[in-house]
Amino acid sequence: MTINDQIRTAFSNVGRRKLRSALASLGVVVGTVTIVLMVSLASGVRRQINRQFESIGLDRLTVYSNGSRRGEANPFGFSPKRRNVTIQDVSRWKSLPGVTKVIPEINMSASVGLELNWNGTNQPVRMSGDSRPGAFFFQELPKPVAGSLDLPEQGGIILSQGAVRAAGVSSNEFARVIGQKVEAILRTPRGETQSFHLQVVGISQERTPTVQASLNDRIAMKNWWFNSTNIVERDGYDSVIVRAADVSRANDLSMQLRKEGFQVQSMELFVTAANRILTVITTMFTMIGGIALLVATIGIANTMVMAIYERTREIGILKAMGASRGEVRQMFMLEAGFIGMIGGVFGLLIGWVLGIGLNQMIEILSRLREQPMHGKFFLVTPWLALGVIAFATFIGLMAGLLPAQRAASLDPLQALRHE
Amino acid sequence: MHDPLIQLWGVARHYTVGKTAVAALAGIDLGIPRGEFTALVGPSGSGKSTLLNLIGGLDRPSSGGIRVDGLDLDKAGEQQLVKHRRERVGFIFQSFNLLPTLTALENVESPLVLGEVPRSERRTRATALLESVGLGQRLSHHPNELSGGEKQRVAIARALANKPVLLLADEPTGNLDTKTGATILDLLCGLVRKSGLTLVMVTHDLEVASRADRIVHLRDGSIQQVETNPPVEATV
Repeated sequence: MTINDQIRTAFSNVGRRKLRSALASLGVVVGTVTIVLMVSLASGVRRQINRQFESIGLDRLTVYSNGSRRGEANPFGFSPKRRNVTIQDVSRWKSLPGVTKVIPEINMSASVGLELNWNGTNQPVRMSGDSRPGAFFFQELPKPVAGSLDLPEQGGIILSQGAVRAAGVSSNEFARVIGQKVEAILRTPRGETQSFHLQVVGISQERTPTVQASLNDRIAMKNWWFNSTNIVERDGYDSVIVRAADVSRANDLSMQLRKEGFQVQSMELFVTAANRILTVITTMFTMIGGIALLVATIGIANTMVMAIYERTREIGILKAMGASRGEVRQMFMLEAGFIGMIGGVFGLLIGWVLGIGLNQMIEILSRLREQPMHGKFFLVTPWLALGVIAFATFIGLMAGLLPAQRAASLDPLQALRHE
Repeated sequence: MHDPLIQLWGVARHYTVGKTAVAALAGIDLGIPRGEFTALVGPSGSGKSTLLNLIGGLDRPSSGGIRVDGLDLDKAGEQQLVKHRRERVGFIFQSFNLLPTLTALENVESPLVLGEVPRSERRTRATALLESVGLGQRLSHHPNELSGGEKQRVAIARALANKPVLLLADEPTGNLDTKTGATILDLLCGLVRKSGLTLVMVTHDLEVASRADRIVHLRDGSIQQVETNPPVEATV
């Protein structure tokens, strides 16, 4: 008997008892739906994370001065010695091989009194800090509402759309704002003020009134605030972004800088950690689905035992016509495999449709909460689809193994006498 | 004189029922020539079906030797017996034993499926066989839509599908009325005469047996008598 004929026979035998085959495959459907949902969630989230980090740049390291300062919590524990990121460090890193860009950052505390004097209004604003990696997980990367978000070394400022609106500018006039001069005023609690004249380069999406000034202006502001001639010389930079030529160079650099005593955050670490956690969660839930599938084998095996009992005489006839043990065994194993496969296909379809529905729900909910999250959280990859059907088929085949063996070893004469 | 297609020497078959051994056949010596119609007759329990099953390779002797068409069935392996059933033998049963879910055509095709005959050839051959037994109009009928005589015709067509050298029939007319039984018997006899097939038939009906070239009388597992009928002259 050719394999084609065996498959055709098995398929028509499964189709002959539709209700029974459907009931037998129900367990497989439940198990498959569980696996599909869990694995697709994991791969969807994994892709979101990877995409997020890729757009930030996996080749990017953020280097911080090590040790705590002014009540700032150190997420990696406390180090007794403080290692500042100095101007010398920055220029040294710039000359390192495989480094494409070094961007030092200075942050200003929210407690610094800052006012924006512009368009005939005077409003308090906050200097927005640099956005640490992970701050916008699953959210879109910041995009300019108008102009650009790239600040020049000196003299530039980015206003949030909240700040622009507060000054009485409506959204259709945003383009006009780019290039305008604004006055940022620092005011100490004692009333001393210092003005900085800056040019608007862009408007950010931020709805609260915030601004972001060029690095050198921030240094100048901080110098004035702390009454220091060179705050960077004294305290170092708050953070430095180092861009490497590629990911592996970024890894080498992060190891090297860590050895030198700096605190380094690399995307690679985040991605690895996130993926590791996802893998654990996926494995756990997949195992639950796997248990459901194992239970499903009992149902299939039972169905096959019944089918073989009913068709004992048929087996006898086939053997009298010259069917070998192997052919009889394969015939019943294929039937069981088909029941598993059908369950797998339906489970995949149901899981896939559920995933699409959940994706829609997440999208709608996130829009309601004004945190637009794009992309699919339940992602059925071709590998998942193929794998889950293959696994369900395998489960069916395994369930059919013992019953099929029993059918194969039936004595033809006894089988023919069976009523 | 034909060379014997089937040879049996000292064949015995015992079954154990509980703790007692029952002898179904004891010391059978028999030669059946090629191209002859042999009837195995005897009361029930005389061992005639057992003998038929041994010749068909569905069962193995407890002792003794069976040679069919050059193959020693008593020494043959499982695969050789499978091949023997598939290629040399066509079985016809009293209760037809058609596969209930398949059509008449598919039933006749099924031995060809096992024999890995290509699809188009199977269809042609099965159709021709059903036409030759007078069922050309019944190809797509299922067994439950056919009368007893028609079922047995399908079974005969199926038995012939793999072009066997040997037809083994176990009471083929036993479930049929006299008239239908007679036509089935005519069909089988015609096959022996026309195509030179060897037919071994189990029957307890002496009238049926009288059509045979050779009548083997069995009782309590032993051969009591072998009669030969004068061969009927073939009419062209």
